[in-house]
Amino acid sequence: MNDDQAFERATQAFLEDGSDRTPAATIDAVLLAVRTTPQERDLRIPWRTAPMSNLARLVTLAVLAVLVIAIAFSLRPTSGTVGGGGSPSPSSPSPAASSSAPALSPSAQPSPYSIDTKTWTTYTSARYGFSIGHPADWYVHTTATRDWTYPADATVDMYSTALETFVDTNNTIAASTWSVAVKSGTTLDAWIHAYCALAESPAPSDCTTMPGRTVAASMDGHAGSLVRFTQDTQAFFLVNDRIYVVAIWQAEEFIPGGVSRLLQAYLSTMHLLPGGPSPSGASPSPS
Amino acid sequence: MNRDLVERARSGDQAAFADLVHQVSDTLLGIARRILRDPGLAEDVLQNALVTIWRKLPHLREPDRFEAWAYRILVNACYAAAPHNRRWASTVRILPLDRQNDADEYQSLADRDELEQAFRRLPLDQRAVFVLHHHAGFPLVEVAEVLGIPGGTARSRLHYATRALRAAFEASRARDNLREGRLE
Repeated sequence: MNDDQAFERATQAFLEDGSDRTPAATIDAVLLAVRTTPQERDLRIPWRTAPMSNLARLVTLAVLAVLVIAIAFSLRPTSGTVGGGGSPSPSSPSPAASSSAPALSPSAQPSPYSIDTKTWTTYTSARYGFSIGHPADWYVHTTATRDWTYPADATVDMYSTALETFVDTNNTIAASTWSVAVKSGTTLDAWIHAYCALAESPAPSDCTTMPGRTVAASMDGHAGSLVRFTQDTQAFFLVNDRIYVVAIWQAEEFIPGGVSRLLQAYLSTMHLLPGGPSPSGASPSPS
Repeated sequence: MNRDLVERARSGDQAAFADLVHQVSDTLLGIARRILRDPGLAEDVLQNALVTIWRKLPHLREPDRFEAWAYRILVNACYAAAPHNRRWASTVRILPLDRQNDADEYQSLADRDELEQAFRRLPLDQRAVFVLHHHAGFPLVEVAEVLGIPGGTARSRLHYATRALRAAFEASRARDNLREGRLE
C-alpha cells in the first residue's frame, strides 16, 4: 500500500469513527419546540401569472417611477457617513478625492448601520508598510510570511500566506490586506482589470460588469476604487508604484448595511507607514 | 427527499416536519459531529439547526434543494456554536496488549490521534468543506453552493485542510518508523 492509499484509508477511518444515530431525546426536544415555534412568514411577492393590460402596465410603471424618485430623494447622501460611500460615482477614482485628508469618520454621523472604529485594534504590517484597524473581537488569522506576487497569488484567496487576514469570531467573514509593487506607469484601472481577469474570486463575469460595480474610495488621503464583486468587495489604491488591496471575502448583502460599508470603515483606519514596505525581491506586476 | 413532505412542512404541517426530521437528523448529526468533534455540542447544534429549519422553511423557494439548504443552516449553526480556539483535550485510549497485530493496531490508533489533533487545529470553515466533500460526498461545486462561497474558496479550503492532515499523517508515520528502527 503506498502513502496516498494509506492516507486515504486513515482519513476514511477517522471520518467514519463513531455513531451518527440521533438520540430520541434530541428529536423529542425538537418536535416539542416546533409545537410552540411559529414559522416565519414568507414576505416575497409571488410572480404574476395573469397577463397585464397595457393600461395596467402604464399605471404600474408610473407608480414605480414615482416610488423610485421618492426613495432616491430620501436616500440622498449626507456628508460624514461611513467612508463617504453613499455617493457612488461611476468607474474611475476622482483625483479630487485625494486632495484632502481622508474624511472617513464612521462614527461622525450615526446611522442605523454606522460602524464605530474607535474601539478597533490596530495591526501593523511591516512587510507591506501600512497599519490598519480591525474590530477588537476579530482575530488575526494569517500574518503574511511572504510577499504577494502577480500573477501567482492572484488565483488564491484569503488563506494565502501572502495576505494579512483578519476573521470574525464566528469564522464567517474575513478581511485581507496586501500590497504589491507595480511597474512605473501602470494605471490603477489597468491593474484591477488584469487582476480581475486572473483571480478565482472575483469571478470572470464580474470583470465585464466592473464599471457599474465601482465607486470611489479613499485611504490615508489617496484616491482609489472600491469594487463590489458578486462574492466579495475589494478596494484598490495605487501609491508610489505600489498597489494596496483591502478585500472583504463576502458578498455585499452578507451583513446589514452592506459589506462595502465595513470595508470603508477598514479603509478609514488604514495608514501607510512613512518608511514604506520592508525591502523585498518581489517583482513588479502585472508584467 | 420527498418533495411533497417538504412542501407540506413548509406550509406549517408539523407531522410532515416530524417525518422530515426523522429522515435527515442522522445525516445532519453526522456532519455536525465531524465538523465540531464534540458529540454533545453536535447534538445541541442539531437541535438548534432543526428548529431554525422549521422557522425558515417558508422561505425555501425550491423544495428539491431542501437538503443542501438544511446543510447550510447546520454548518452556520456549527460556526455559531463552536467555542473559539478551544484547546484540544487529549483522550486516553486503552491499547490491547495480547493481540497478534499489536503493531498495526498501534499504528492505526496513532494515525487517528494525529489526524484528530490536526483536524481540531483546522479553522471551522476548512473542516466544513472537508467533511461535506469527503464524508457527505458532495462535489466541490456543490460544497461551494451549500456554503455560499465561491468555488475557488471551497477548493482552497479543501487544499489547506488536506495539506494539514497529510502533514500530520506523515509525521505519525515518520515517528513510527523511528520507533521501529530503534527496536530492531
